[in-house]
Amino acid sequence: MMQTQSTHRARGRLAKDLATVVFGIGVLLGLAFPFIWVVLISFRPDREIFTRTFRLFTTVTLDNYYALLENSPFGAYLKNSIIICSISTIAAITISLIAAYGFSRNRNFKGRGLLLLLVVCTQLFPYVILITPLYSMFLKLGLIDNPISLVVSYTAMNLPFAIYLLLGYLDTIPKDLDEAAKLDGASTIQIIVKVILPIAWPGVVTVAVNAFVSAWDEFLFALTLMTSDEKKTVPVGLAGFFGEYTTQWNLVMTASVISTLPTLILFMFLQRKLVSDLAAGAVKL
Amino acid sequence: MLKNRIAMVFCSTALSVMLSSWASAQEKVELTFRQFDPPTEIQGLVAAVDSWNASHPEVQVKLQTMSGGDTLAQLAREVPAGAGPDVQQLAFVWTRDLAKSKLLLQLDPLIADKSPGAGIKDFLALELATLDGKVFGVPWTADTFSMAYRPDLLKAAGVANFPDTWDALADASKKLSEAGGGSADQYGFCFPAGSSPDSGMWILANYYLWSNGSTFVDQDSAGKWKVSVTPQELAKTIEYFNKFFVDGTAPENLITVNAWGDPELVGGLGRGDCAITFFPPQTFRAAEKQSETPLMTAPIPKGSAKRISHLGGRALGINPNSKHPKEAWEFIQYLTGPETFKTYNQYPAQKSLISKLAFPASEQGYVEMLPVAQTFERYISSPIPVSSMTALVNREFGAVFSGQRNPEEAATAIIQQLNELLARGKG
Amino acid sequence: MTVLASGRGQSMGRKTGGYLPPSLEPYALVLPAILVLAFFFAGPALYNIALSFQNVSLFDLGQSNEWVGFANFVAVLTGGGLAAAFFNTAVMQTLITVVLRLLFGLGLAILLNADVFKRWQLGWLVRSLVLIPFVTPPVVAVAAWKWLLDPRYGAVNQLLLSLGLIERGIPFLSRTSTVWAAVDAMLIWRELPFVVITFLAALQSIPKELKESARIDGASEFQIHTLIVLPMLKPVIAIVALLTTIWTFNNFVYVWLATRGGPGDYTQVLATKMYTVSFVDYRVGEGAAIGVLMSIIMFIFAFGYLAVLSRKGKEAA
Repeated sequence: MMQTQSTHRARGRLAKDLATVVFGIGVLLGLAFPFIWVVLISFRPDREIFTRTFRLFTTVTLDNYYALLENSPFGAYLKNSIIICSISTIAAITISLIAAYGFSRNRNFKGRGLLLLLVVCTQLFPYVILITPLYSMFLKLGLIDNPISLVVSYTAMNLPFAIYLLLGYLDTIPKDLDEAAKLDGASTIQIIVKVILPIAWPGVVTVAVNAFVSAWDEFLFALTLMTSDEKKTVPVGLAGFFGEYTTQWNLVMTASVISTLPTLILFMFLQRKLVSDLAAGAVKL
Repeated sequence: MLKNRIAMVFCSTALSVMLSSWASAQEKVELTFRQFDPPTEIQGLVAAVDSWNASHPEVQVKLQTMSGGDTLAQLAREVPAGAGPDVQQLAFVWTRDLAKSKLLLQLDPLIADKSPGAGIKDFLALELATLDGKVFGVPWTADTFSMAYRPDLLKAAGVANFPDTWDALADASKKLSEAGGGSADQYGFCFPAGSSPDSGMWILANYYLWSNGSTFVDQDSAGKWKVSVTPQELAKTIEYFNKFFVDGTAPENLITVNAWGDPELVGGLGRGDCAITFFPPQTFRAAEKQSETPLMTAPIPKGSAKRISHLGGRALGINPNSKHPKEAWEFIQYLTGPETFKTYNQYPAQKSLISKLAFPASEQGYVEMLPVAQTFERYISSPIPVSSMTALVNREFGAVFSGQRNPEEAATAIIQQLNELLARGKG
Repeated sequence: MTVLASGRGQSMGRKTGGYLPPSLEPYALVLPAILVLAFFFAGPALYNIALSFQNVSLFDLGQSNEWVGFANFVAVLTGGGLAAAFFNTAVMQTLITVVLRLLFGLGLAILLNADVFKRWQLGWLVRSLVLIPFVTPPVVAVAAWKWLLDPRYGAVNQLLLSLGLIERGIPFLSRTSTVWAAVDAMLIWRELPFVVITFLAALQSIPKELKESARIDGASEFQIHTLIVLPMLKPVIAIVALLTTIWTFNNFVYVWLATRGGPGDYTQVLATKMYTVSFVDYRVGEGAAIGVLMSIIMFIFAFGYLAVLSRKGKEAA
């Protein structure tokens, strides 16, 4: 009796599981479809990129990839983007985590409300206008055509969003953990790194991905502050394929396929850590 | 101790300053040259620059690319701040505005010193590069638009000769659409009908207007600028192009197409989606590459007054901040010389060079249009920025195509806004 | 006890390496962020405001220009098209997409948080797949969608044709009846993943035991989600809603790449209007004025939003 009951439940559960997984993955594949199409056409010869009938598979060729590397220093663009975005993301996470902790754990210090409002206010101004005085400022500092200017810019651009999001996550972490660690003699920095960070890791990863992708896609500052061809980032390089007379869509598609890989890989890597950390956390709790 | 230290620092600094200034006297000059075409279009130019660098070890040129739309704003930021490239590629229509704001170096002394090409008067569209009689840019490449078509599709539809007038174009277009089975497999005439501030509709609209004897703005005998086109003429123009959509001889999708280099048009000819469209030379060549059947060009249709197109192109300018204007000038002379045009496949903006050019058979349309092409000088001298005119005309045309206005309303709106811009521009 | 406690606290202060009296600590923590933001935004923000009171042409951007008081604001407000652009921005672009993103984002996050993905070791896969739209560069995302919506060759129309729902392909971006749906679809497609992963991260911090005990008590899945999960997510939902609203209100890229504000003026939003006025009409002073107006609107919204939120927070406490 017990046997059949548990196998019934097990089978019912299996069916439910299967349905959930199939439905979930189906939705995700549907969501990813436009991108999958871009990947497919990057392997088509230039002439067949926009075909009459909607066919998924036609001739497969690597011509576009060769053409991309031949026609532009795309490898350099990738390298520049990866370095600049990684450094600015790490800087943004560090600074914003510390600041969010300050805002979260100290709800009454003078000026808290004002400072938080000012943080939001920075998001209100359009970069298209801000870029002009910022260009002059970086020029005076001798940082034009220097990746440091972009690192500083992207860190600053991502801070407000990061602070607010992390504030939200940190608010859900009970203060008792802090108190306990303080009693054990931990300094604030130690609390943040050893206690808060592991628990807030999902939130930190989310903020990191957003910061990285925002920096990765950023065009205006990269265009204005990096003038040498070999110092360009991926979006600027991509824009370079659009001309007054022609647009090389095959190169554009190919370049985008390549340029999405770093972020995906980064996030997959961070996700695995997330899963394993969470399991550890659950056991501890 | 401290005094000795200070003395040491002072001496070593002085020494290094002296050494570096001596070294720079021997150092090679490095020029930056900024252009705005995509990498696949400039292989010939890169070859020319490499060739210069090989033969001029003491003047090295670094090529930079920045897309055209962004270049203007960038120059406006860089030059007043004391930065910017030494040599800059410019669109014909920018030169005067940039010169007005002191963002370009005046070239007359350099021209007097060493004349470019066969003399500065040999250059096309020089008037666009001058401000108050002074020269600020050297016209470099020239282009215009012509019609492009699939000869085989025209033959199959029974269109014997390429339509010579605008009305003939509309008729031929009908025949071609029907020949495609009427089921929207083939359209007659495809053109950029988008509402973007840089849509190609502006160009077509002007060709139609100019060929029928009118123009958007003009100076009267007293030198005062006014709107010249009448509401009737303008409405007729809008109606003409709208009819393609009404009759179904152009796909409705064109309302979203802005660039003449859009794959819809460039690939459209090759795929047989469209039998006729209109292109500048570089775009035509790209379309030929995408097409398995041969393509041909033909002159722009004639209006009641004449056959006309616009003369566009690019010029070269020098940054007023440049530390090496003489070397920059030498480089410009090289760029405008026959050596560069051997590999750089653009039409040179010099009468002497163009007359010697061997045009491929398929580009005969351009051969016919270049002599009758006129620059947008007629608008540039007006108080209205041409870009504003372009934006507002494209917007209103797009509003009609998408059914938000009828042609008369749009014509009135355009004229009204042009008048507002004229009034504002005078201030 | 008190003496001991305070004594301990003091020595704690010494030991905790900050060497700061606890009252100064929040300022120290917040300082690096504020410094970076001040350096980057303070001067330029003032420049933006100053620019809106000057008569500046794009070509004279780096040079000094004449002051014209409120003339730019007057010109912008009376110039026509601003009200329509504001409606497009606030309702068609922001309200609709934020609401849809919150709804779909929450739903998808709850789906992907299902236990089965953890058990079958698929967690990393689903969380990476969901990110794909977000990592596609905007220009490519819009191009891909434009092609998918193409009336002749696009998958969407081919599907509708084969289902017999339509007779001829619909040019979505050419018709005023469908253009906003198309632009919003592009925006939502690309920006949804971020909402999903933000909610997912928050969902993970909800202890399983809470849901388990509710399940044992006989609550349905629906009840569990509405009565337990949703209230716990409120702070995150509130912040995501605020940030995405501000960000979407100022957004330029999707409308610009998809339609440039067309057909005609139909999809013009405030950000594209600001761009056009500055970089096409060359009237940067007026463009800056539009920017200032947009900032004021968003500032009022953010202020009001945060005020309501803190009041609700106080009520709950």
